[in-house]
Order: sequence, then structure tokens, then C-alpha cells
Amino acid sequence: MSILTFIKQDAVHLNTARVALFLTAILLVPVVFGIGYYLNMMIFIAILSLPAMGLSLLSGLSGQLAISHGAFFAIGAYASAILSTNIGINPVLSTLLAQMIVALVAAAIGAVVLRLRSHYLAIATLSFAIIVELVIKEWSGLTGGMQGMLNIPAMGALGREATSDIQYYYIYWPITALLLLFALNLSSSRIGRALRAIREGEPIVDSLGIQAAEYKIGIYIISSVFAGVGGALYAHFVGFVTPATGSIMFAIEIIMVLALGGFDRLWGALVGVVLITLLNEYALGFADYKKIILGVTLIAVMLVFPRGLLPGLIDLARSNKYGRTA
Amino acid sequence: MLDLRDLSVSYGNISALKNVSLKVEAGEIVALIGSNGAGKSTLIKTCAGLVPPSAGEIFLNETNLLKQAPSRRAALGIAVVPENRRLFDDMSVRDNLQLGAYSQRAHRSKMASDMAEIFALFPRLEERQNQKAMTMSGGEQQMLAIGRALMSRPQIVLMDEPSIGLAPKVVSQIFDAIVQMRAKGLTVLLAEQNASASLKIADRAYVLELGRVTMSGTAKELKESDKVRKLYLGGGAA
Repeated sequence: MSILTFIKQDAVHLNTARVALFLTAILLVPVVFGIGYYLNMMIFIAILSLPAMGLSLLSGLSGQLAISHGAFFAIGAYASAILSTNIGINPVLSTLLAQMIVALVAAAIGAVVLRLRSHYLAIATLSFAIIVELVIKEWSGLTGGMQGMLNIPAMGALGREATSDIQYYYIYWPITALLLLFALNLSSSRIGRALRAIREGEPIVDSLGIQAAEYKIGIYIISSVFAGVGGALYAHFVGFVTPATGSIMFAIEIIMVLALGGFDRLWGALVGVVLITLLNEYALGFADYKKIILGVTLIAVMLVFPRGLLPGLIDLARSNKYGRTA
Repeated sequence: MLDLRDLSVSYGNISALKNVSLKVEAGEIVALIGSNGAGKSTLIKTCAGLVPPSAGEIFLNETNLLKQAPSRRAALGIAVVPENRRLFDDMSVRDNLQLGAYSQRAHRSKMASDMAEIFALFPRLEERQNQKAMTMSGGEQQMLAIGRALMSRPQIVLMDEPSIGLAPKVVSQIFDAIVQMRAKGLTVLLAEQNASASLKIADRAYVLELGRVTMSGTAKELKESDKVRKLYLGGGAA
């Protein structure tokens, strides 16, 4: 209860009701539509939503973008893969242990790079992402190098492993929904309020006794762990990881997700993931041009709707309805 | 309670405060009077830790404030009502008040009752608690800035020109509230250009001119001094 007592109770109830409704609908989908290939796509949506929600927490609450979420996805994936494949820890436990590694690395990186503001943070986290990718490629004794790692055990513990898409679907979506609820509540909590105040950049924040640096590092760690959980779930679902897992291209795709769904909206991040997944799935014919299409779309969205496509369109619809509000 | 000893502050080559010594005792309202550029804001910012002094010391009770980080000073019992209020414009009145309660002095369990006390002091804030700070009038925003300072359960509140840009009626509402706050045991340092209003409620006052303290005494003494009457109270009409 202690974490809930200082959150606005009505906000918690509303968040819980919405997420419960959402999860119920998601869990009913296979009952209504039966088992099919779409389940596979939906599982990837559940996985990709995690780094997207993590980055959305960071950009929504602290107003900063990091390019390290691909790297933390990779660290989560590789750490859990190594712990379960090489050491034999069960995947549930290895997923959790991997997050401790992610949190430690994020704390170390955060302590250094969070002194930087706006695009400097992006550049610093980009350098970190490049280093992680290099380490994964070169430390082949541990990571399998360019070949990656195969035969990562399926998600499960105590001799009960998930064997089919439908089982993964029913394991992963509740995890994603639970973390969504956590993120929503964090955002409306005392911590979220302090971070929004820090984002306004007023020096008065210090005089109010708010320890800005600690809050910023804290949200960076939490945000990175979201990506790390996504990585571990990914590794135990697909069964292999390669240096392409959580590459810089992946990090940019996560930013693309927010550019579509909005930079400060957790639900928007989910919508963004769905859009990107559909784009990847049905624009396969354009695979060669994918990077160009994504890049141009990103630039266009940022120029026209700096808060993101979805919030931009919502604002546009509102201003047409009520006349121009300037 | 608050003790400034030979405090000097300079911005580059320009010196803003020169050897200022000033004391505020517990339970007092002390006015700091001076025109634009006299150094009132600099003095308050230095106490809050937003500007480093070039010489001198600041003590809060027995603690040397200059050795404390700005974010620690709230925990020691200093609250600031800054120049131009510095509210979180895009956040609600309630959020702004709650943001005042992050230091160790504020107890979460007492937050609701602290807020109720502030609403009793400024009923307008209760009516507008869910409104964004930027949608309120200047007077209401000033009330909110004071309320936010009170949420940290301070021993002393440093106010930087709370009357600026407000209608006389609103100024007297706010100054009445300051008197009520003092009645509850609070200590106040009030930096003001509005000498007549602040000398009415102050116990003692200092006059600051070009970074130096040029006069000090009880509010009554200063009200009756020829110089103050001429320079700050508009001729003979006190």
C-alpha cells in the first residue's frame, strides 16, 4: 500500500480500471478470433511495447530522449540468455536477474550522462549504444559474437515451459499490462509530479528541496529496465539473439514509435508500436527502402507535429471542431 | 534566527551587495526596503543558494547556510517566495502546492491538513485547486506562491516583492495573510519596493541602497524618518 498512499487515489482507480479493461479485451482476442498467425505479431507488440513505454516515461516525465533503449533491450536479452543458457538458471529467474544488471548499468550511465541536457543526452546515449553493440560483437566467448546465441530456453520455470504462441500470448500480455499500469501510476505519483516540475527547468525546484539529480537518475533507471524486460522476454520467445537484437536501428525505431504515438503518452506508445508493427509486416515489399521510409517519416512528423503524430492529429481535429485556437 | 554577516555578492565586476549585515529574530516580520536594483532580490537569492556570495556568512540558527546545498536549505527551514512567483504554470494549483512539500520537514501524513490551513488562509486557492496555475490572476498566483512556500513547514519565509504588479486591495489581502502567518509562529523577511504597505506590518526594517544597508531600525522609526518619507513614502504623506 505504501506506494499507493501518496498517489492520487482517484487516478490509481482510473488507471487500474482502464488497464483491466484493456487486458480483458486483449485476453479475449484469441477466444473470439481463434488461434492464428496474428498471435505471433501480437506477442511482438507486447514485447516492443516495453521499451516504447520505458522511453515514453523518460521523455514524458523528464522531457529528454535517450538512444540507449536499444542497448538496454540488448543487455536484457543477452544477460538473460547467458544466465539461462550457459549457467542453467530458469528463464523466469534469469529475466529478473538480468534486470539487476540493466539497472546497475543504467545507474552508472545515468550518473554520468544525465548532467547533460536535451540533445547532448541523445548524443551521449548514442555513444553508449555504439559501445554496447561493439562489445556484443567482439566478446564472442560470452555473446557468440556475430553468430549470436542459439537455443535459448523457452520462458518458464520448474519444468513448465511455454511451448506455443498462445501460451506466450497469455504470459506476456499480462506482464506488459502490469508494467503499463505501473508506468501510468508512476506518472501520476509524487515522483511523476516532481519530474514534471524539474522538466520546467525553474531553479526554484532546488529551493523547494527537490533533489533533481536523484529523480532524473531514478527515472532513467526505471525507463531502462522497461527496455531490459522487453529484451529478456524477446530472447526467451524467439530462442536466439544476435547483434541485430537491440541495435541502434532498433533504438531509432523505438523513437519512431513515440514520434507516431506521442512523446508523452503511455497509451500512445502502444498505438505507435501497433502502427510500426503493421508497417514492418505489410511493407515487406519495401524492405530495401524501410530505413529511408522511416527516416523521412520521422523528419516529416517532427517538423509538422513536434509532440508526435497522434497528439498532433488530435489537436488538429479539436482546432477544426472549435475553430482556430492559435 | 537568520543572521547575515558582512555579505558581499558580485556579478562579474558589478557588485550587487556590499558588506550587508542583517538579522531576523524568531517571530519577527522584517522588511527590506529599496528601489529597483538595490540588491533585494540578490540578497534573497543568496540566502536560497541560487547566487554564490563573494564574501560573508549566512547563519540559520546555528547552521552555516553557505555550506548547505540549495536543495538542503528547504529541509533546514527556509522557504522562498521568489520574484515573479516562478510557479509551475502548466500544473494545477493543487500540484503546485504539493510540490512545496518535498523537503524532509514536510510530512506526507500532514499534507492534507497543511493544505487545508493554506486554503483557510487563501480561500480562492481552494476554489481554484484544479485549475492550471497560469490561468489565474496575478493576485491568486502570488497567493499560490506563498502557499507553496508554506507547504514545506518553514521556520522562515523569504518573500521577494509579493506586492509587485498587484492592485492595492489585493496587496492588503496578501499582507493581512502575512500577519496571520506570523501569528502562527512564522518568521518573515519581506523584500519590498512598496514601503508604506510593508512598514505597516513589519516590526523592523532595513533600507538597502545600491547594495548597502543605509538605514535600519524599528518600522516606526523608519516611518518617521525624513529620508524614508521623502524617498520611499511619497513626500510627507505616510
